[in-house]
Amino acid sequence: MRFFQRGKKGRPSQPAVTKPSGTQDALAVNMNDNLQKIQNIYRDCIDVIFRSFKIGGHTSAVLIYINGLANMEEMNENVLRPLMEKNSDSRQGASPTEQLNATSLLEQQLTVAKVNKVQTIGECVQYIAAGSPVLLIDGQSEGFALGLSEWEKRPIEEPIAESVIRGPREGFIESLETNLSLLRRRIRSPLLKTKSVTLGKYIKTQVVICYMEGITPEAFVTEAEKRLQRIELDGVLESGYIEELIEDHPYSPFPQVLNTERPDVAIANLLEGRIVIMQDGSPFVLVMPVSFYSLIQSSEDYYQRALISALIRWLRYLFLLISLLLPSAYIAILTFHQEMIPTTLLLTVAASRERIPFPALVEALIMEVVFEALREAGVRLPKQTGAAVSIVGALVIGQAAVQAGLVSAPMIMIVALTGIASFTIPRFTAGIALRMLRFPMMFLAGSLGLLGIMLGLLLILIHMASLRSLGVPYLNAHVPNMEHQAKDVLTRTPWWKLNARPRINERRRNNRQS
Amino acid sequence: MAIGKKVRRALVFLLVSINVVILGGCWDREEINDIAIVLGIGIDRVKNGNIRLTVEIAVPRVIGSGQMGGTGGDKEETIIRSGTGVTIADAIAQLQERLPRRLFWGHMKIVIFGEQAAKVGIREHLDFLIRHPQTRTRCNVFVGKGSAKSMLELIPPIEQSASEVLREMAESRTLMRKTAKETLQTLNSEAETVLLPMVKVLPPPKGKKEIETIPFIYSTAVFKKDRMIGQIDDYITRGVLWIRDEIKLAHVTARVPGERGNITSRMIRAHTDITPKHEKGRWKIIVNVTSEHDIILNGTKLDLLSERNIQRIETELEKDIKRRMRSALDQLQKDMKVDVFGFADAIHKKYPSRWRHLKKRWNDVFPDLPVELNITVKVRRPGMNFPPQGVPEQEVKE
Amino acid sequence: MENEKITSVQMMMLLYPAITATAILLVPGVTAQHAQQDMWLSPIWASLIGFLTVHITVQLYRLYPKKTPIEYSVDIAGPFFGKFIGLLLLFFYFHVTAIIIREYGEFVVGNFLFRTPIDFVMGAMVFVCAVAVRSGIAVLGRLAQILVPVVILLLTIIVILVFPDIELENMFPMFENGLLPSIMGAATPQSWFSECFLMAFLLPHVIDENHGRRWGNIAVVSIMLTLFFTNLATLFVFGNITASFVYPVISVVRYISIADFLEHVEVVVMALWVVGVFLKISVFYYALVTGLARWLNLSQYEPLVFSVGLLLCLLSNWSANDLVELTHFLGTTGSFYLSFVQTVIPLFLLLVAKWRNRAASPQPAVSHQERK
Repeated sequence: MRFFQRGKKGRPSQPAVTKPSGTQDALAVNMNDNLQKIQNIYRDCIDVIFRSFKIGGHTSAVLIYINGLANMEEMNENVLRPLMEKNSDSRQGASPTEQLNATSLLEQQLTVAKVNKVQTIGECVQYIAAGSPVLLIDGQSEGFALGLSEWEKRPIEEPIAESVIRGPREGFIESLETNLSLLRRRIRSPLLKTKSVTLGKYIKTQVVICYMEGITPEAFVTEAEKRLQRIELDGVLESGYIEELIEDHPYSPFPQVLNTERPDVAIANLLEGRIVIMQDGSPFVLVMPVSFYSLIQSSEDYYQRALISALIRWLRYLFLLISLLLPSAYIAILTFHQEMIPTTLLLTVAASRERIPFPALVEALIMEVVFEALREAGVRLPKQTGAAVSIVGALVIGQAAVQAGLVSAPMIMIVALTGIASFTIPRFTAGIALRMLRFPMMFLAGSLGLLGIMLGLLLILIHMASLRSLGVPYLNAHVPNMEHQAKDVLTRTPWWKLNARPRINERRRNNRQS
Repeated sequence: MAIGKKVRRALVFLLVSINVVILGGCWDREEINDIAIVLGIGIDRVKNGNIRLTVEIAVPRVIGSGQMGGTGGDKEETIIRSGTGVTIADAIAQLQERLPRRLFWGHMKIVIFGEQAAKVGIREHLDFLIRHPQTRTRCNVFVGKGSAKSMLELIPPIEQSASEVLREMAESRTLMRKTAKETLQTLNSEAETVLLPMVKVLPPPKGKKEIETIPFIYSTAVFKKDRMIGQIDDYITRGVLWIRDEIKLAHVTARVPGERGNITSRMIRAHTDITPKHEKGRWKIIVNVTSEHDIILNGTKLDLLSERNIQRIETELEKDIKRRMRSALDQLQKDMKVDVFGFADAIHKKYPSRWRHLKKRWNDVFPDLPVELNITVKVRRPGMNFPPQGVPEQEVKE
Repeated sequence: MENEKITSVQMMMLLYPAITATAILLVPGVTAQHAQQDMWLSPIWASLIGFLTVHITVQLYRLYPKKTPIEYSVDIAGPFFGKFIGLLLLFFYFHVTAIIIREYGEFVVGNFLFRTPIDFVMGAMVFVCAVAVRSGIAVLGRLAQILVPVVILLLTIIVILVFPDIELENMFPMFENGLLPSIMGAATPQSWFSECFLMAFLLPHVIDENHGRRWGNIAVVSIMLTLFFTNLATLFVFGNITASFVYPVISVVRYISIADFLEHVEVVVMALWVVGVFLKISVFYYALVTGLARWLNLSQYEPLVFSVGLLLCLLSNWSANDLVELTHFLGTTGSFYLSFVQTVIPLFLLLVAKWRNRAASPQPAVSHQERK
């Protein structure tokens, strides 16, 4: 048990991050004191604007915002104009020296939908940083944070990393609010709950845990919250950071968290009782807990016809094995079990290897490493240069290497097939895990033949069987409730027969259809 | 702390794996270019009782290697090497000395025993073949007329090697086929007799080199215990196959009395039952054959649409098959006195307790054992035509 | 001790390879020597011991719930004799596990990796098993549930592939010398069936323990059917020469040839058979290590795993000089040795326990518990 168990046990959990001095101070009644403090905090920040003006021509006030994060037009129309007008209705008859009533101001003059009251300097800074302009009025011990933040964002586009032929074309973007709205727009039930956690010492990224009340076991939510709160990083730039920090076994090659760009995938997982973790600034949301099987399934499996999807799943399982085992099986058969291949094929392969200087293992290693490099080069390069890489790869490495007698033609085929096989796995993270494990398998095959491959496979399986994702066994989908899950793992049973929701932990609301 | 431990563990694991690779890499690993793939072997007996082992080794050749330079051309696809020794294993040791690559037996398809070796006994050699963990129990066993080496040396015009020719021929089942396993099984059976296909060199057509021809199965060698005691021709062999229920391919030609011309039929399937009977202290064997045929040639003027004609033909076919079986029985039972038909096993299976007494005097009983042959032939289809072809309509007999 | 759980189905999936994995190696050959063409019948006789052992094990477990033989032997036979019996069981499992590892090593080295040192082959396997055993019973259960269906599927495919080569004639004459030879032939397989006693070490971890008996019996039946079919297939292919093979089943696989393409598949079979042996060794190893931890009253067994593994490697090296000695031991003394420790001693424990229960309380406590 303990052998593979990795916890965050060693990491002490402290509550909040340390804050700059003075931020805990309450807002003073004298506006200038407050203004000074905030100006002090934001010294040397040219993008922070302090706009002073007089309400109704007498009470001084200041509007603080960050240039580019607030909607200027609305600020002009709905904040500055009504407040600066001298003869506003509410001020009728009141003496100029009379104490300005903040509540009435809010109720009668600020035509802004979302207004939060702020009590401390710290809160002010937080809101300003988040793009909400803060209105401070002289003589008031509280300010108003106006929900007028707006900045440039990417439009909702088709997700590139997970493309489908049939299915919704929307993808998450970098804005948390938009992403949440994408979920809300489809799940109209109030049972969709969203809990917020703020991460990062400087960056203060907002992270939201989404779950379906009544479907998701509460244990998942509390455990995920606990793990998120333990995170102490200067900044969280991508959900990959969070993924790494809340995984159960960080040293495993297998991803224990699913990341997706697709709202439909997130929703499907929510409805199956999993939690979705969203992070501001990243189009990738995290899904937990996951089993290995959900990492090698595609959302499209459920959109296409059941029979076809089942066949495609089998194809994927087959190619999954190929991507892991083909090079090692080739080595094992060629150097240990030559009797396994038909005589004529053996002779052909032997003939093509007759002038190759390397042993099969070395040959395979060279070619696999070269292939990985080509793939990596192709991914990172701009599209225009990418084409050049593939030409170089195909022509130079492929054909020339064979003609120069450095590698044998069957080896090229094996490498190509392995490459294609690893691309059939829809999740990049799962595919790369198998690609990585291919190399130790090749060494094992080179030392013990098929027996070595089997021992390696067993070790991988033992490891996978002892993995847990958010406390749920990684191979759960297959075990322990075989009958239920076999329907959705071994095949893809039509929706009308797929009644039971995957039983992750608790027995509750287990029917999808009523 | 915890992480340090983890790293240490990972390092240990890495070291162990590297050791595994470095140490383990050299025990059983054998590159494909370091093995000599044996396709077939021949076992001959030479002077002073030694064994000469001849192996046919495949030479890997680049296929379609035209532009790759001189490797193509008319180089042979196999090479022949021989070694001698007291036993096969001995001979292999000597053979290995003369080869740069290690012999690999996993693809061995055939074994040919030279006539001399077969006459002395094949048990010892079979033992080696079955015991060796690389060789296949499925390899086909033959006896060569003359020396086994001369068979393997041939360069067949179509197939890649002489071994391949013989394997294909055996698998086509026109005559006998025996794998090493089957040979051992019949050797271990109650009658302790074996039939092995016999091969000889097909004389090459004029203008071709002496060696550019193939070996072919032409008769059958008869073994008592593990020694070859004689041989039977192809006609008799088919008779034996009929009785042993091993006939797979047969054409039967018959003449219908009162008609001119022949009728040939092709056997579709046949089944033989051997039933021993013990009546009044005397043993008797009843052989029931049922077989189904298609007519493939009709040289008579009989119209095959007529049920009466078909019946006449069936009777004649039955007679022909019976004749074959009878001549097989005459030669093997009466003259050679070897039970290659499986009668002993039939009795053993049906009357296990009586067999125990009978077994001791089986060699005396067998030659005089009455055998009753009942043959039923069914002609299922007349081929593509009913009436005989090329015969004026009025001459066709219904 | 760990409180990880498995289901009763997983228990069955662990028991199945724990018996069949090696029972299809040397056993058919030994059985054929005695039973000849009646060898197909022997597994059925042998399975009777299996049912008996399952019955005894379950009865004992009902009397002493949540306890393994190491603990209830103390309850039954008193602290001294109880500990002694526990030690006996531990030494027994130590020895048997080593023998299994040796069987595995002999098989691999004798058939596939001729020049690889047997210690290396065995050591690699023990290492993999040790990792699995350390991961706990739940992981073993999960592995079994994934792997055993694959193994069964493979066996089925092999039997189907053998079809073109079978000769039903080989079965006759049936019962040439009466039923006795087939019963004699059951002597060796019955000792394998007595290994069902391993259930006793698994039952405390089973969630739905009241299904334990059912799945135990299903395990026995499925093992019996497997041996029945493999023996039958072997007999149909090899007939009178079956007894002459050391590993008849592998020789059958070797004989398979479909359309000149699908041949020489025995390496694949070996590779998948390794999976079965892995589970077998792991179950025995697990029983041994947890038993040892319980015997020593340790709270964890994990620290023992690797040290015991090292000892197992050594003992497997000493357990026999050569394959002949190993086969001879398994064919003769071994049969009685295994079933004595795993069936007779538990039977004796059960009788004492029942007698003590009856003596202790006038109320029929036993039947009360049985009603559950």
